[in-house]
Amino acid sequence: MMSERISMLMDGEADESDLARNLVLLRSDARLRRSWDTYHLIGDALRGHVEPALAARVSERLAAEPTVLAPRRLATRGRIPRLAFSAAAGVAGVAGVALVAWLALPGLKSEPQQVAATVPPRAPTAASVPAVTPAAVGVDSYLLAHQSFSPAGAMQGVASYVRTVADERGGRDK
Amino acid sequence: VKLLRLALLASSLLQLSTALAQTDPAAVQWLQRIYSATQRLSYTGTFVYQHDDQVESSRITRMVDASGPVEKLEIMDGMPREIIRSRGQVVCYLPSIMTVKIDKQGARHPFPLILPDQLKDLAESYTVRKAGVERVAGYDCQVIVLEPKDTLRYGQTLCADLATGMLLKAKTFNDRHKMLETFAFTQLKIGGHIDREMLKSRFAADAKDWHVEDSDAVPADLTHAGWAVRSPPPGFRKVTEMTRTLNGASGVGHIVFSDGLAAVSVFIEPVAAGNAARQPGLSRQGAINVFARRLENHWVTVVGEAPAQSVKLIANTVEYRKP
Repeated sequence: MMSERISMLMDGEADESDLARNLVLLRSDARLRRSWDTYHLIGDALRGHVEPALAARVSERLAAEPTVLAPRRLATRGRIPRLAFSAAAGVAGVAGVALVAWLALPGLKSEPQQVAATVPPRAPTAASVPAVTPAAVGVDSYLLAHQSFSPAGAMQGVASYVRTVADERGGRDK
Repeated sequence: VKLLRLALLASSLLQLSTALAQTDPAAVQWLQRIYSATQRLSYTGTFVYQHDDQVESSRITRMVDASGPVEKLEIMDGMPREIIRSRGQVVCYLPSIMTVKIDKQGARHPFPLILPDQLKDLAESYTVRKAGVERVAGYDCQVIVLEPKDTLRYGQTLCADLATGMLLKAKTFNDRHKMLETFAFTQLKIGGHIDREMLKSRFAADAKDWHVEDSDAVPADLTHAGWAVRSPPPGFRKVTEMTRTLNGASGVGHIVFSDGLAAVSVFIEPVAAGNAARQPGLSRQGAINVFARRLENHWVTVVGEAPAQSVKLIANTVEYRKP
């Protein structure tokens, strides 16, 4: 119902009394503000307003602070067309954020911790243990450079280098 | 009186748990035995590497003679791949992409010796204790447990041959004792005659036409270039720093941190055409976590056999100041 409020607020459909109350809520509730930002981002992404440079900046900040869903404030934009926004608001929180990842932040496909951060933690550890994906192809060179410095790896001799030569055909990508 | 008794009981329990958590010097000696066996022994064997939902088996051959140790690792599953380590360099043969990757280890000791400092660091961050005797690949082995003292590192359970100290099994677990990866020999022959031919790559002839990626690692002071990790997590010390060639880019900064058991590498390279499309964020393979972020038009990539929390912590304390 919170998302509905934001939706109405963004579409300019809230009446006077609702507007005042919602603005107070928005000011005091960080989660609500994040939803507000996210919905704007979704709207922008759907309308193709997110430029590559912005996406890069956003993903940089997301990478640096994984619990922050989106930059706190986006530049003021015009009113969001009803259709586009409703489509975004219609999807559940998780899907909405996933949409952002797909449309605006292609680089974040492999960073599901933002998604995790939007879901109310189901297990006590869900929020503290970020979700991760299998290492991407191309990381092998870093692993090779790193491996010889691992004291734990040194105990295993050359066996520990098995980590550094994943099947380059992309077996790890599956 | 009842309260007093309770208090006494509590304090004796506390003492007991402290004693139990203390590092056993005999267990630390076992670690030294393992390191020394790793450098001294010749052997042939097969081991499995298990991580996530994957199992890969590999054949390993190691021979020490007058010219020093040579080791060969052949991956038996999927695409054939081979790694040969000798005289301070590691050569990876990757036939699927017709590439040879070479990592020269320069002046650094080619087979890291365990140093007293390293053991001291280790004992500060882990509790080391002996557990029971198990049987792995037909050998009786001593179990040694390295339990981390905080959540910034993973724990390990090792099993080393009673007779030689050779490491037969190593498991890495997280703070909830979930197994992240396991190395375990399934077959092993220690000592005996090993033909030098067995240590050559079967790709050596073909690889003459392959693409060669040489690491060209040279010691460097990255603080001169403006890069520093201001506050590494507790227990982690800077071990070394250098520049190297990585994925075709030269002059990539590489800083290594270690707590005596785990190592974490920080790589710093400019954003360029070849890597602009890379993905920031976290990825993982077994006990290895990788975290990448962009900073000052550079990629900061942190790689280590440490929890996601630690690699992120290190990545986020990387700073650039105009020199």
